[in-house]
Amino acid sequence: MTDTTRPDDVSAEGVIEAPRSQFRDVWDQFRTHKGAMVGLFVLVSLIAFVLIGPFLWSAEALKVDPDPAKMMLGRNKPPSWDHPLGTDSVSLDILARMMLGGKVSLAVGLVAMLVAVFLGTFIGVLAGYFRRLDGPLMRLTDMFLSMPLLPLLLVLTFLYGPWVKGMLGVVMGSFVLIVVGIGLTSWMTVARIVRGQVLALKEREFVLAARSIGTPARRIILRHILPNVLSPVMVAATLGIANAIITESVLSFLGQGFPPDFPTWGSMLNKAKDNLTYPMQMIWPGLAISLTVLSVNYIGDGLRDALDPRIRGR
Amino acid sequence: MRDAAAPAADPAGPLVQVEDLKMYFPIYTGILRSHTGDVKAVDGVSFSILPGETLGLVGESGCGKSTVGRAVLRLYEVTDGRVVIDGEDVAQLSAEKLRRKRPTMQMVFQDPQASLNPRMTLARIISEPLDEHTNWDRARKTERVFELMDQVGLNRRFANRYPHEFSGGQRQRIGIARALALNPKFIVCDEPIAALDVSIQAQVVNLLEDLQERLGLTYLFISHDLSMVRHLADKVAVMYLGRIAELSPSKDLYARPLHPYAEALLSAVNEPDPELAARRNRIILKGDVPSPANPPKGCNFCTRCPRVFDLCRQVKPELSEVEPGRFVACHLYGSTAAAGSTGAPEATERNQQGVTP
Repeated sequence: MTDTTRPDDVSAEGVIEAPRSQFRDVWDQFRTHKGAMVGLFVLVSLIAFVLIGPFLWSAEALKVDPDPAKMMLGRNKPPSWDHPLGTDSVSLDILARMMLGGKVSLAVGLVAMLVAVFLGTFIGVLAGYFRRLDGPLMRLTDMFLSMPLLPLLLVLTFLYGPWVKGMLGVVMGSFVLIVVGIGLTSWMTVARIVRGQVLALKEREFVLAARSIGTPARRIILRHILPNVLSPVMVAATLGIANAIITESVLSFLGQGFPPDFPTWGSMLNKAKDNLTYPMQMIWPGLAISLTVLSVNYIGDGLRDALDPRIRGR
Repeated sequence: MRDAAAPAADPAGPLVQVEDLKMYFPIYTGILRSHTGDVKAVDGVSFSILPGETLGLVGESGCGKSTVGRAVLRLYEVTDGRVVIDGEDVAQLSAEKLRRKRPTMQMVFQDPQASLNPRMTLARIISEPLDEHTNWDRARKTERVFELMDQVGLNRRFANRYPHEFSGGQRQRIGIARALALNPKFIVCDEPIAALDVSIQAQVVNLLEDLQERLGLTYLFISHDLSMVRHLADKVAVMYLGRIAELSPSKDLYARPLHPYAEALLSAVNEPDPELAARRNRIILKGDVPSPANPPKGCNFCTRCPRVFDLCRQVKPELSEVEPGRFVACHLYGSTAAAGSTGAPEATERNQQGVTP
């Protein structure tokens, strides 16, 4: 032993640090990742924009002016002091609509991603770890993968939409419906990735070592398996957010998502697409969606690096 | 020593007694996945280990050494047989009883890199057994972790480091510390030195010996390194194709192996003296090890044995005591042994791979 000094060589007991918490290590490493910090800043700004913004900017975002002449005169205005981002085709303030729509879009993206990742990881881990469940769960995954998802979503919202909306109100009902719908139809890739990783991991000796210690299966999964499948899940999750935001806009466009007059970034983008004379109307929501996806991607990248002790500190 | 292992209840009885252990892995073939056969990885192995003793388990790759080690700790569900450790049959225990039994028996793994979770710090790895089996508070666990690190010669400053920051030998020390955490009586060392450099091997083996002396541990030492086993083990079992060929005290076995396979295996040990090496007789076995899914009808070694005769191809020899303390499974030493078959075809070879059949 050349580099492990005997314990009695340790000069002072105070030199030895007590075992540190992992959160600190992870945060310290995360802070060194520039892209991730910028991403975190952008995402926090976007969230602040949609949450705090409406208190500072109170232009009309939902109700079309009942006076047709006034409405016609205020349509498609370029940016001005009254309307910093201009007005849309029914003379509503785009900045206010961006705030209102962003709240929904961000919430849909994050929650639908969480639902999908949670479901996918759960099914993937069960299928990978418990041999008996592997067949049935993977056939279920194949079944979902082989189904045309958009028609399925449309049928889902068509059948259960009125019922859910009746229970929770129009906006909240649509939200739950869309989030659950998107979550239920996009967990499959995560499940497949996780299953593959778990199959490889559970043959590793450290899992065998945990079994020889007497660790029960659920704690082996939580302590040894899940932390080691984190990286691919993280990547899938960041991509999932973008996907969810876009799918939501498609659903709204097809009339099965939020009510047509209710803004989301996706639906604003869709509406502006038909009104190409005024490209500004399309740029704002597009920019917001891109920024969200990009920042989440960078955060995921930084988080993945920070969670891997082999990359940490390099 | 605070954690010196208490002597077994009955000092005369063995701590570990394995009787007729069988571990078959089923083979499923065809579209219907019908059960068409078994890989007989371990086929009727019996041995016992006294408290404080080391049993070496040697044999070539794929002979079932590691499977024995894992089956003894019930990391596999054994097909048949009894594994009595400290008075309880481990092979039959219910899940919860087995869990509570785990602290008495631990394992040190072959690949120190693979046996440590890359995302856990050294302190968390060593304290995992404590998390599972004690309800100590954090300070007490930390204290115990430091104590264990001292015992295996790891600096206390390493507690917050991750496995990839250590060398192979240090990683193996972590693995040993984890195995020691709960004061086990019995440790299965599954080729603990196979993945290490020669200089590090000696350190780890010395550490194991040292710990045995201090804590009164009992080892099942699985290895294909014959000279290390000679150094460490009191008794040695030579395995071939899932069965024990010879089980003898280490000294006797290395001085005069009885089973033809043990003889051939031991003739492969390197001789440091070039003069002696030039003169020694290497026994080169011809052919390959038969598939454990389809072992020969008679003695498992009959396809390659230099002294094979008719009976060997018909009847499986049982392990029986042919000399005091020496057990051999070979018809040569049975009552029906053919006399005068002592002239083994031996070849004088310096090159290990010189002759092919």
